[in-house]
Amino acid sequence: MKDPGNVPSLAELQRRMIDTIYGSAPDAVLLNSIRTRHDLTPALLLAIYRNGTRAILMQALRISYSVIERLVGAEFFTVVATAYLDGTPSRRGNLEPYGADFGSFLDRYDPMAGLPYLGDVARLEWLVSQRQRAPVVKSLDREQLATIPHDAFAELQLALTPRAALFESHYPVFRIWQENRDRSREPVLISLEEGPDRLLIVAGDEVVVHTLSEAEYAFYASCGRGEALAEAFDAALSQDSNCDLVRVLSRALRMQALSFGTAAS
Amino acid sequence: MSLHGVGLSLGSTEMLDPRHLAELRRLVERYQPWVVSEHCCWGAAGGLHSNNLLPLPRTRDALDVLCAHVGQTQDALGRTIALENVSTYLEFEHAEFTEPEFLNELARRSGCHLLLDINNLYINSVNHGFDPLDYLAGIRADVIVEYHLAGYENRGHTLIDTHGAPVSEPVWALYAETLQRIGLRPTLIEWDTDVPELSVLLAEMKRAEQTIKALS
Repeated sequence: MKDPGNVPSLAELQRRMIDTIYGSAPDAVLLNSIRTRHDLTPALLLAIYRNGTRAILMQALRISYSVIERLVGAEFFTVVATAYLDGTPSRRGNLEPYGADFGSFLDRYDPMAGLPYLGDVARLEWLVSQRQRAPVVKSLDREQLATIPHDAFAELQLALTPRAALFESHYPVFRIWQENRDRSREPVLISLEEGPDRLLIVAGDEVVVHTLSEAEYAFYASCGRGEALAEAFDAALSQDSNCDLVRVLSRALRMQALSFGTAAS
Repeated sequence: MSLHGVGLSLGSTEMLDPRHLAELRRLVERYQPWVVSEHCCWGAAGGLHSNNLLPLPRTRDALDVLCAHVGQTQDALGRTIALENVSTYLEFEHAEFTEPEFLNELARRSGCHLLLDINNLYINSVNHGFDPLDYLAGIRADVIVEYHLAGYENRGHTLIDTHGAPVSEPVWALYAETLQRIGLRPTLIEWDTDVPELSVLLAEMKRAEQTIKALS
């Protein structure tokens, strides 16, 4: 039995142990409070927990960013993910939000400076997984739209449903994502000149990523800013004066991307 | 259906995450599971989460914290929860209770049930050198509502709970002993990493059924 005079409080013990799990060297107070087992020192026993947490966080990143893993290879993904988790401890008991800013990390990660599209691919992967977890709400349909009085149409406020999201990239991220979702698919050559991409992600029974024209993107972006339908149409026309607005709205209904905004609901 | 949580961190001295508790409550209200269970462990300190099942020093202080948080959870959910014994790879010098004493006291004070993970019991008996039959003799049978079985990985110096291998022979033997000494309870076989073909899982289930049948 070691000196009982050095017994840390429970709060102190937990704080010291979590610091050790996230990389600090264990201090004497913590080490002295742990029983040596066979020939395993307290430091080695703590390492089991440290390695366990790292394996759990690494697995969470692999699940969220399987396309990135395929693009860079499993071995390099381990290197990148290790660098990320070294500076990004988990802040919740629920692992779901872990890795939310992995795309921004990739933007700043020097060894990947030659692959500038990776951050956007990661952000697209994250958006796809997050939309699947968003609450299901009834999307706007033709019947609902028909109930709106004609003179109220211009002021109608529409919004993206919680299961829909807009995404824009300089790079052809949709094709990169699509071609690399399935690990068994043969690699294909994609020119970065195929970008930019303007995308609408909609989660129904499965997630569908739609490509948008500049005018459509401007329409949804306007709806997303809480602007009225007349302004959203103006935004679309400002990108393409020949834009067929009826077609834009019909496609939105088919994609089940819109619901009534706050003012109309 | 049963809901089995890993993230509440009931043994942490910090307050429970109200968002996590609210999310759990919504899930429980929606699915009305037969059992809601969590682990007798801690996982968070200083705003950082290990997302791991960390061992508690079995002290009076730890028991107070755990009882308060179990009570808070049961109040929030409006039902009794079950607490599971976890695999541990280290023990603290200043422990004041054995694990059966600690769990019995937890159940008495908080009114919670217990979930006995027989793989974890076996792992701990090997890692820390005690007789699992003494453990079974010491734990309150009347509050145990469920058993868990799983596979482990033998790293030479330590058995690690992986949920990624078949249930080992010594754990099947301990399961049979547990059924005899404590009685029949619903049993869940946990296998959530390196998940094999369905036929392998069904064979594990059949083995559990045969172990139960052999009793009668």
